[in-house]
Amino acid sequence: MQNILNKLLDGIIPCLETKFAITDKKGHLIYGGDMEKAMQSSIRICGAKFTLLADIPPSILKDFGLLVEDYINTRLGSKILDCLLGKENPPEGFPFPCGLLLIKSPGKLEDLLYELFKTDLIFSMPDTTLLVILQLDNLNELKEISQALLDSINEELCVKTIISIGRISHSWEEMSMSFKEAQKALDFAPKINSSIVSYNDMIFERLLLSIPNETRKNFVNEIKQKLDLLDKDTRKTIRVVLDCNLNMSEAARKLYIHRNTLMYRLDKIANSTGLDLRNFKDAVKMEIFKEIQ
Amino acid sequence: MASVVLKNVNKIFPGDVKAVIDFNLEIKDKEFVVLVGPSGCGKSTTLRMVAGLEEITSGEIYIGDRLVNDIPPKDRDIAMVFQNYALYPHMNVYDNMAFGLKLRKLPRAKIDARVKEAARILGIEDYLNRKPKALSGGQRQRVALGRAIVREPKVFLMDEPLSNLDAKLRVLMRTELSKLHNRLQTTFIYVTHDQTEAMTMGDRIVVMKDGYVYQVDTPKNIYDHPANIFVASFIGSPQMNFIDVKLFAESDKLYVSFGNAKLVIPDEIKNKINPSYMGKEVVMGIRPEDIHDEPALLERYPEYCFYTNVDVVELMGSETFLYMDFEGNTLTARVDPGSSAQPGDKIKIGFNMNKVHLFDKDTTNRIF
Repeated sequence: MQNILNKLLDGIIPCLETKFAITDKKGHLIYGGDMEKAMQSSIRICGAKFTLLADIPPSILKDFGLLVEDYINTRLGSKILDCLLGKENPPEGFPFPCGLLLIKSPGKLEDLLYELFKTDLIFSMPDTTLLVILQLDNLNELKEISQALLDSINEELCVKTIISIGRISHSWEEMSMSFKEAQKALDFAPKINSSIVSYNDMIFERLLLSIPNETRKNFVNEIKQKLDLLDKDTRKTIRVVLDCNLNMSEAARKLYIHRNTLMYRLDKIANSTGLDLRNFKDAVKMEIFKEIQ
Repeated sequence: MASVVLKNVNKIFPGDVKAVIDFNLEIKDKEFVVLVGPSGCGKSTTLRMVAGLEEITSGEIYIGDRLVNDIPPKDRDIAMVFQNYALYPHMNVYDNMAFGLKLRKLPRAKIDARVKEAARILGIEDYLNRKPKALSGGQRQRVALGRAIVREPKVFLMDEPLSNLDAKLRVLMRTELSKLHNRLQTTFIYVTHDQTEAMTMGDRIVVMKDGYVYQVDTPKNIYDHPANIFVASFIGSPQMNFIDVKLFAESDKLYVSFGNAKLVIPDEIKNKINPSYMGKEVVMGIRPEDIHDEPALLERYPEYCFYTNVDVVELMGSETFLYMDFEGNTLTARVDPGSSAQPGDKIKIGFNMNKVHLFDKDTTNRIF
């Protein structure tokens, strides 16, 4: 990933009056000229460590480093966005296949991400989301990383974070598509109350959200009238059965009732509402109601 | 190591959904407390409030002497183990366990010492270089536990950590966790909907339903003296039998009657019952193992016996379950595997009346 980062940096390193140079972690010069006697400071660009060399007093070197770091990272975010949206020609030789994550969080996640994705690319996007591009070819692995990342964020920072998982891309076109889908999924996330979303796994939710408001309202009212006839425990039974993917034994265990008691409750629900959870079409109606109410 | 205190804790979600209602509990230092209850009872929400992952609507939570209501999770000195035990697939076991410590910028030597010690405790020293995909479910769960152990928290919070494991492994890990608690000598708060886990692991059990605490006590006391019908039915498998009975006194003795059966209540219990219940209908509970069909016992205690019809006989190997019908009441008995009862038989059974439980029909609370 270091090589591609060096290419992305081309043209966006600021021209300042203060002379400085940047080298990558192998010591290759990325920007500037020979500055052998200059002071050195470590800076992070897209999560990767670089060395900043500047001929300035040590007391202001750190601040100067932060300034350069912020300037470059901001512009890199815009540049990668332009590449993904097709507004700018992307650099050649990108190490595909890649997976991407879009992360929306009010917390400062950078340190955590830098520690976690040492050889991957982390961009701060102009809309304050973070884009992580990981060199991997397995979507399940990307999903596992997302779940573990969410747990770490919960444990370490406790901020409400949404992670949107993109598909595995083998070209810039695919990555551009994956990025746009991840953005859409991120917008959907609050509506389905989920912390990890994946556009391709959201066909059902996307379909439901595309139903006109009036039609949705009518459907909800129609089912709600029927379910209002039931007591709280029975309504909870429906929710648990749906959460258990209609696995009756699992639902009975979670409700801590005998399977036969669950069957009796389902009979009662069917008698009073006309909706039988054991009937697939009726279960679909209840699931839609649960999703859009 | 620390105590945990929850004082009048409430959690109300938007839409006035009351998830936890007036929760009060003092968990002692080094105690293993299990929160148990059916789905939606508020147990996970309670745990998440202790962790700081869920804001509390009102009340106070203390860890040690410190009020932690407004303290973020990372500063609460707790470690959580979830049921999905997500591990980073691109990191080996060592790095997965060390990750949280690296973020906290602990010295490398300290991280190394803690990871190796946790690996030793959990018996996963040989797997430290392996990636998670090369591990079995049980090994992955151990690594997840390891991630919590290395933080050396004052309190471990575990949310159904074994529910993703198969039945055999769950039983094994149950023992492992109890051993781990003994070794670490730290406070454990453990959430499960599995009453066997609760009974076998907890020093104390908190039984919850619909956001309320129904009983807090040791497993033995919960089993032997359930505070209400819900707890009595929730703990124990097969569950306790319940029969509507009438309490009445006759020639200085106290009896319960149901159908044509009339059984005497032992004096020890009789003296504990409030006289206002005389002549009233109450609910009698009796556990399956307290129903007997052994002829020697039945002869010895004729005043506790009556006849019933056997519907189903289940041979379990070390025991036999008899499912019987007595005038519309279904009774389950756990009897000796040598029992000769067969489906369709009319047999004589006896209740161990010293072990009966009586509950108020309206409040469902225990009456002695």
